[in-house]
Amino acid sequence: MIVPPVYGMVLAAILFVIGLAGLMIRRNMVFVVISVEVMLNAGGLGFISAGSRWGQAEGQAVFLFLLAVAATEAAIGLALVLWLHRRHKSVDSDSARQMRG
Amino acid sequence: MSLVYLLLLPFVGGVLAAVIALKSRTWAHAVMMIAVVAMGVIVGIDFGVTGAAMASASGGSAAASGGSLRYLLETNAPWIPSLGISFHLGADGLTFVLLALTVVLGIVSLVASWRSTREHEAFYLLSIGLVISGVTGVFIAADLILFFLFWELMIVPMYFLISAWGGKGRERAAMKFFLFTQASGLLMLLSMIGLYLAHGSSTGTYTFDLAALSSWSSGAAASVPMVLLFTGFVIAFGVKLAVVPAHAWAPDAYAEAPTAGSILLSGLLLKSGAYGLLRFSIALFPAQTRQIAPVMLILGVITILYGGILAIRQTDIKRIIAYSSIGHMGFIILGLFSWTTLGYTGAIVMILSHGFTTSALFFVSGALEDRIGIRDIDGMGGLRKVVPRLAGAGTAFLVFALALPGTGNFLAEFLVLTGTFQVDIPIAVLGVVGSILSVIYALRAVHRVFDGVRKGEGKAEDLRAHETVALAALAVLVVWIGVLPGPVIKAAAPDRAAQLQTTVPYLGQGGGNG
Amino acid sequence: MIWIIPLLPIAGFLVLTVFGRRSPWQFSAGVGAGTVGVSAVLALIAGFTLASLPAAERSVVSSLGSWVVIPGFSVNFGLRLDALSDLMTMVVTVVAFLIHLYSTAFMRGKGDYHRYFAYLNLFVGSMLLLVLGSNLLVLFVGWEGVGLCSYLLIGFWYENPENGRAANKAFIVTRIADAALLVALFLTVAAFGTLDIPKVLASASAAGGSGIVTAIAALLLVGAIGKSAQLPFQLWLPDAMAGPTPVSALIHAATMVTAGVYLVARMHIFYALSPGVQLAVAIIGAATLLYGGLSALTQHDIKRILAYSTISQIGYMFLGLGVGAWSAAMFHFMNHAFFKALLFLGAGVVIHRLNDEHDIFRMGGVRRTDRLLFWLFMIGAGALTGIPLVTSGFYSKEAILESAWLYPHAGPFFWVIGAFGVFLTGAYVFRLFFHVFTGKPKGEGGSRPASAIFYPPMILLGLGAIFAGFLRTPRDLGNVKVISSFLNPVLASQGKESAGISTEATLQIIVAALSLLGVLAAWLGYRRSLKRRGTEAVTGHELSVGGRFLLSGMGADWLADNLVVRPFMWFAGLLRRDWLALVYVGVGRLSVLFHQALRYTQSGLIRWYLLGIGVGVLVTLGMVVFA
Repeated sequence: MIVPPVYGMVLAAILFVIGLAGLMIRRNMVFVVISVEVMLNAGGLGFISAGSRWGQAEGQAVFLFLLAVAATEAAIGLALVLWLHRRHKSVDSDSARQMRG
Repeated sequence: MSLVYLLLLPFVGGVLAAVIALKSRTWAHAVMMIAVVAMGVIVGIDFGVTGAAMASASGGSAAASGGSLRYLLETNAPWIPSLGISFHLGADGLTFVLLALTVVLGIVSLVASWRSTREHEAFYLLSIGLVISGVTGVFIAADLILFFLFWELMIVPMYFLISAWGGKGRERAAMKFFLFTQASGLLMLLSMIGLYLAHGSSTGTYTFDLAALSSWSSGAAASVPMVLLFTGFVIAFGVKLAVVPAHAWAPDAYAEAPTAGSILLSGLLLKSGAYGLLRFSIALFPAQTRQIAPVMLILGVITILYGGILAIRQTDIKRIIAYSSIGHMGFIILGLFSWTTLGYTGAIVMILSHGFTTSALFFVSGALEDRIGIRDIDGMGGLRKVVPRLAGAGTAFLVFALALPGTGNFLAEFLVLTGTFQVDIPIAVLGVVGSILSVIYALRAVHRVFDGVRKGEGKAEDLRAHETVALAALAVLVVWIGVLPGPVIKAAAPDRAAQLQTTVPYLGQGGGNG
Repeated sequence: MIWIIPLLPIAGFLVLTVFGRRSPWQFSAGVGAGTVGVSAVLALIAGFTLASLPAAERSVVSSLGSWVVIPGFSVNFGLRLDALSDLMTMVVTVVAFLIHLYSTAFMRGKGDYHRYFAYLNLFVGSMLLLVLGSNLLVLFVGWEGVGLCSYLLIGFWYENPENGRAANKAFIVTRIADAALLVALFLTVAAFGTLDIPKVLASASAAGGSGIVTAIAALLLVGAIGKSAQLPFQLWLPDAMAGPTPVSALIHAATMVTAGVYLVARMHIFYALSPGVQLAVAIIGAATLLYGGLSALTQHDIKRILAYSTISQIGYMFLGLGVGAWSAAMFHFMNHAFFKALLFLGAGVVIHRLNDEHDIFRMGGVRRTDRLLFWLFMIGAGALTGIPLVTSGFYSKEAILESAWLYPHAGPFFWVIGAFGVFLTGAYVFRLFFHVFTGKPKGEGGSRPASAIFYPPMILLGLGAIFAGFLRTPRDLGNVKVISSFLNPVLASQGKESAGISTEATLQIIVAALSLLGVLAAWLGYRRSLKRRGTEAVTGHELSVGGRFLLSGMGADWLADNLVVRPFMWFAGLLRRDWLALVYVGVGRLSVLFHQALRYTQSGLIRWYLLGIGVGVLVTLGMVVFA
């Protein structure tokens, strides 16, 4: 049974929203990085489903690019989280706050 | 070319003086004074020469047609041709009168600053130079953007004058002054740009030149956009002139500014508002100005009365002078918007005479503050015995300010009110009430400050020679205008060979007699 | 050439202002009195020249050039010497000169000598401009000028703040009245297009009794009664006595306060054409005459008695104007200038001798120390009362009352008031006379010597007070008409000519009797007060309620203070804060409010900013997809 590509898109959308929500809401920077990963992967799933729908290989190719980008981004993001921890002794994004409003 | 010199002299003088001030204070002041006096000489020569030429040329054939401005002296050079901005300067009789006022007040303000010491003397002199330059530019600019440039050039150094060398509440006062005039100035800029675009889209040429724009717009059909454009100008000039209800910046600014600042502010900057109304709003929008005249008459008389009543209970002597000044501006408004030759002449005389009297009053109050250290009249008293010459000068100028006949102030008020009477009787009567109010506050001030017995102790030095000369000269000028206004009237008169927009029909007095 | 007359004293003012402080007192005295003296001589010469000219030519106009010339309106520096202005000029300059002479001695040691003469000169110059002005604007310059000098001189002794307050009061009250005068000028320009007096008068005649003419007449009247201290503007004059006595003599008795009389007389055509307003003039004159007389009866300050007397006598002049007796009113002005100045100068000598004592109840027996003064003062008092046949006051009051009787609107009623006023005058002035000059001296004595210079001016004034009366006598007493025929070209008299010799004689006898009765009443009152109080120094201030009411000038000051001054100052105090400016303070507060609201967006929280980015992206996508 072939999974209809639409399901893939829907799943991708749901994952994207979950990732976006997590990005905007979570305080723990590690989870923020994880949420970004989720969003990237959701995007990748979307590409693959679309590629499957149109029967073209570009979808898969983009996913490969995505994997590379995600890895890079995770590396840099985690480096920044490490730096944040070193500076403020916590991974709470609220601790990097100098403006008080 | 000489018009350009007029602009450059105070500026260059200011820069030079600033540089010299780092070494020698007296020389710096001297250089500045020389620059201003040189300005005066140029103005005098120019006016004499061109005035004589005009008189011999125009003698009789003064019937002017059309709506073009005729300048006695002109300089025109392209500046930013792609935007239609030219470096166009022009002077006519009215301009020369105002330039004369500028020179006199420049000299007076320098005399007032001569002795008192302050920090950053260099910057102080530079600011004064820039203000004088800016004011001169405002009076002679004939291109809208150029006018705006000089308008801003007036405001910024004045802000510094107030905030750096002023009294106790100086920051607030300076900020208020700056915000009010800047905001209204921006409205004016919007109107200018709107006018530029309207003119351009209707005639095809895009220009900011005053003459071109005024001949187009005075003939253009009245419409809502025109009214809006007009409003921008009127608001800007009204705020500058401190018309009630836009006067709120003025009392603070006057009171907190240093003496020279107050003199320049009250004598020149406010007059630039009146000048703007004359030269720009009436020239560019005669129909709309005519329409708005009844409202402005009411505002004018409210200004007179409000200024008068508020002056009565003030205790800070500079505030009394400030509110008195605001009241006199009301007379100028009445004169301009009464749309009669009488009123217009009175307004011009008032511009000059008020400039002289108020600057003398600020001079006196500055002198008092230097010697006694306070501005509060409740703490003063009995000064006539201690500093008789200063007391005499103070009394004399306060009496001039209440429009004693024989002075320019009286002549101005009389002409303005006689003219207004022919247009709107109740307003003229209220204006006369205003003159009663001026007696009350002026005499109260004289009584509290000079009569009675001295409250504090300490010696105070009477007027020194140069101060006496300056004040005496101002007194002579005030009386001279009151008794011999002929030259001034002839110079600024609208019937003189189209020196002003003749599309503005300044009527003779109503009633058709004489 | 006429211009020298007013300009000379003004030049004196300038010279004294610049050089006076450092010059010896003789310089100030010389310049001050000298300029006025020369002007007086010139005025007299001009006067006699004019008098010799036939009636139709009796005027000279001189212009120093134009003042304001604009399309539709022009005014020049014009002076006009005609019978009316010349009469006033002669009186003003001569009396002023005599008072200047007197002052050279009186003011020694009493303050800034040069400043005094400078102001006094400026005053004379302004007064001359006022009466000589050929247009209303020059007149107004003089009008305000005398007001200014009055202010400066009342407050001359500035160390006492009371004097400054009195000066302010004078200036402010007269300025309020002058506002009406200004409106009259505006109306004149609007209606007739000019301020030149002959042209205005001609246009008014042409216009007839229109509303405008009446309005101008009424407004001029308000201005006049302010300057002349008539009801209801009279309250500044008693306080003006704070100034030096010669000032009171010159300004507040002989000259400035008569400016209002001059104005009405000069513009008499307006009043002839507005019977209603003219009736008002008469009513004001009559009421003020009574007011002044009654209030003077209870005063104890010697100068205040004379001040109220002045108010009352000017009331007579206004009454004369109101009933159309123009030249009679001017005749009374002339005589009044002589005897009132004499009385004030005499009072000055008394005050000077008694070391600045002003209270008549502390005076007495001056007859013994200064016999000459006694006789001079008696002449003055007699002239003021109008002692029959030998004093000028009799003849001028007679002239006015005669015309009052003939006035078509309740003439006899006005006559009665005027006659009663004669009785009051005798009473109050001789009350003063008896208390000051007869009896034994009260108080500590210690007389300050009086300079010999005091007396010649007073003697000359006394001669005037007696003989000037003979310039116009009633029909049954010689029918001399020198004054009226001199003034005739300018002031043709109005109204019925005569009421028959016998009526006139009867009326004259009644008035004469009343004057003598007044003196008698004063004598009786004086004796009674002596009995009650003995001869020791007493304060003598126990008055009945009615007496205290009259003492305060019928509560005029209290009324003015509570009805006008206090409410106005309260109102001005309310406004002190500049409420209109609070709008802008509100604008400022509003922006601060916005700031407070918006600052929460700058929270510094990373997730907040991420939220912002996310929302922004969604919104933008939405716009692209759906718009």
